[in-house]
Amino acid sequence: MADRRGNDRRAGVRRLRRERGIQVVGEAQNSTEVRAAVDLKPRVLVLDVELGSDGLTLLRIVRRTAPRTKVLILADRRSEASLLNVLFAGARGYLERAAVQRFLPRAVRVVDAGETWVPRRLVSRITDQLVGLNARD
Amino acid sequence: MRILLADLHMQQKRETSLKVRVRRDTDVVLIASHSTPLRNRWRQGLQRRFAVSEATRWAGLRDRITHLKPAVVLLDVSLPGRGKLSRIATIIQSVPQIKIILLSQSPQDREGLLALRLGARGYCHGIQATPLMRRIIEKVRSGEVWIARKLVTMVLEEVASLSAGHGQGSRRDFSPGQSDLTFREREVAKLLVTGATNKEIAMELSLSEKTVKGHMTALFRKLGVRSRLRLALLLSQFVGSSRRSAPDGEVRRVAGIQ
Repeated sequence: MADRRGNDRRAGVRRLRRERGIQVVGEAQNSTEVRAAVDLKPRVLVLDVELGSDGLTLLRIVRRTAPRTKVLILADRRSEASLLNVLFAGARGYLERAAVQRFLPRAVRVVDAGETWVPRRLVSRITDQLVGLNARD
Repeated sequence: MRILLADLHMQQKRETSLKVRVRRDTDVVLIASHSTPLRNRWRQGLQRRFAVSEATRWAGLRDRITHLKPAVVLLDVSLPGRGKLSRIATIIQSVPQIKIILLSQSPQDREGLLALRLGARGYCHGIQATPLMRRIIEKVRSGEVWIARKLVTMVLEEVASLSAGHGQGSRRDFSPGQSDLTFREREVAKLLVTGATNKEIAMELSLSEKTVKGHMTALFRKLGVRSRLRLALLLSQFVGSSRRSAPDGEVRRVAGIQ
């Protein structure tokens, strides 16, 4: 669980600890701690997009150094403009902070299962990209 | 006395028609399917909240939608016909803001992807619990896209792989799948969309008409359409998003397609 906001991070960890089948193996609040944490080879990394100087760069580093770790990005509602950047940088999911208490465990499980987690409200941002492209079939 | 009664009668009539008018302000949902049980089910579930209209055939559907201007269309995939989904492009071309939710008794990922590429705003199973169906319609009506979670992953992968084909930063480029069309085919496609005839394309590109026809056939095959009109309609959706792609720098209307 990597989040620079201590209270949120601890609340997220508590929420996950209540779930069967989910084990929290570490916490991180800055980029150094994140890089150490991925050495633990977690199946899922919940990563605050504003952690470090550039969350996207950190995301890419994590993807390179721990390719098996699936990343679920945590973001403020304000940051929704970067949904596509986040997904194309290799994250498997995008969860808004306001949705953490309600959806964090489900999002973690979905991402762990290999599916994508995005707010339903933002799905059209992804499909809009598709309409602008033509394809073989 | 008679005059008074007549007056009252007129007033009642007016009130009734006012009621009808109020109902028409409610969002219209058009349900289009061959299947009567399916239409019945959807209508029963939706008629409290929406003004429901029905269509039973593909023929005339586009005109119906153009006139009715429903907020949302529930379209059974069997209506355009399985494998003929690209037909919905004609509707979306005529009514660009139309929100079509495609419903299938056996949803398939590839079909869902195609539906989205063509401009559908939803793709899901035809049988939904009524409250969910209402929700789907309301969300789509307010601008969201409704698809299964698994399809989201596929869309992402598709966008990623297609973007890779185009190279960095040109995701919005009009050119259809560069990895699949030859340079000449792309040239021909771009001219077709501006309304050029085969003869005009041949002249513009310094080719024989026969050669242009050959490229046209290849385009039909590669893009999965069967007529020049459909090809133009399919491609012209993308011209709008990238005005710089038309040969002379401005987008001319698709016109005079033979």
